[in-house]
Amino acid sequence: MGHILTPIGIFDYKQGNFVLLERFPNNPKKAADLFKKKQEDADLDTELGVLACKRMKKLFKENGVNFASFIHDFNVELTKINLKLELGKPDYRIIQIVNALNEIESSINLYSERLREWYLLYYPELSQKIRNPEAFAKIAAKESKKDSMGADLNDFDVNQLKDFAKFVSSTYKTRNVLENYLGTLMKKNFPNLNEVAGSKIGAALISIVGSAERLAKLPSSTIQVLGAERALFRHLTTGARPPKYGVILNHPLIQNAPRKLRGKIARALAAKISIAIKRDVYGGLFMGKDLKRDLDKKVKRIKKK
Amino acid sequence: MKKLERFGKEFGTLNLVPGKKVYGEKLVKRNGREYRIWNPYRSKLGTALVKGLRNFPFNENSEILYLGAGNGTTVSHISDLATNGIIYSVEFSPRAMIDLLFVSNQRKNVVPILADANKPQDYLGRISQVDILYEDVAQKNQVQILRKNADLFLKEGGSLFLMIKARSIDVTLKPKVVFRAVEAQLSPYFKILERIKLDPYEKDHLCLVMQK
Repeated sequence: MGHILTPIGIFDYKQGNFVLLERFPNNPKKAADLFKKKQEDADLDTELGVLACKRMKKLFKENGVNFASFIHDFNVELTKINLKLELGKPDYRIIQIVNALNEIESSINLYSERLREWYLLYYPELSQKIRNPEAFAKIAAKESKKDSMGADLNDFDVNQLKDFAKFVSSTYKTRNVLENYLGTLMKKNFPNLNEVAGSKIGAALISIVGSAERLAKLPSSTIQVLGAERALFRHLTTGARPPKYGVILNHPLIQNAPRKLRGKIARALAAKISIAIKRDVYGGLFMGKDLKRDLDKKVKRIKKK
Repeated sequence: MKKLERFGKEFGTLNLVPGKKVYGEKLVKRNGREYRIWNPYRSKLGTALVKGLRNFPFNENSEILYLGAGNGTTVSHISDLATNGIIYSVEFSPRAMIDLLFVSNQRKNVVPILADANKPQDYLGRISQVDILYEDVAQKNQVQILRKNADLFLKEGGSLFLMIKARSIDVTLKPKVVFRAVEAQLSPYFKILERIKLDPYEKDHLCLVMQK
């Protein structure tokens, strides 16, 4: 029969009695550390566990431990240990960056438009010449105007405008830095997913379901429509047509495909993503290149038909 | 001195940590003592009370296993009541657990456990048997989770509180149909004492009170 692990130590069960095999320290943190270590390699018996739960208070009393305070302090310490491990998972950082990028993306568009409007008062020709908003912010922060129909603003007014341009430009820089960081995190932690889906889509998928492990457990048919929940539930509740794709819509294989074939390609892509994330989460060698090659072949075949 | 008091339509619990709020709730004085108003929009047990819950076994010595403790909103009110008891508060989300740990700092009857209520063996051996099992997890298999935990941890004759979210179990069915199916799954094992609809505070939710 197995042993049973409790906050005060490891017990054996003989002839209806719990026999103490190893006593844990009275310090809750040390006890929690030991409990955690033993939990990983112990052969634990569920029936005994239930029995121990029933007698937990008695066991504490027999060993001279105050139940109410120790059960609290011990579980707080064990929870802190588990929490620290959990929070260290790259998933949580990835999710924060995905959200940060989404938020930056929507505010940056507003700022860019505002900058362009404001700049028009001063130097409309530049605004006309440089259409790319990122490049525009960068140049607007430095460039002084030449011959222009814009107002002759004094230095004070111009400097305020340029400050705002600097702010917009640096927001673009931050966005680019975060995108690179996201790419690095994805490549390091989920190389297979990263290869098949790309870092942005892969990260968005993890962000939607909350963790890589949960993504690994999903069927590919679900992965295919992640991010299209509204359409999916509309389909389920009203019988409207089902969505063909969710966030994977932004994948180049789908973007570059004719509209009619997109559903089929989405299905193939989701299937490969599903394999890739399983590899990443449950261990295994890098097979991203093979998956990608198979997928490209499959897409070619779909397009030929 | 009563720990649970009525304040108009709502209820309040005698604050175990006077002067401190847990989730931005209102603090009200009565007879020189401070009560925390139990917001029925934030806590489903608070809703059930407002909607006339009759079975209320939470007392000073109650020992409770609470599955889906969240940020500790409902847990904190139970903690005001079970001053000599324990609330084993199981929560899976690390984000919510951070808040819950802060709650447990000040409330020594709140015992936080970061675990998946689907896998009770992870906290087996860390807790004692309980008088009340409370579950609010909004999972598709919330009935199975309840049964597993009741088998392992709930005393014979103990109470069960299940907050059923119809939309988590099957969005395509009418809530009524889901509720009936859930009851049919549970009635062979537990005696159903009371059912309380939580609308309009919580849409498509039912509070089911049972006994083992």
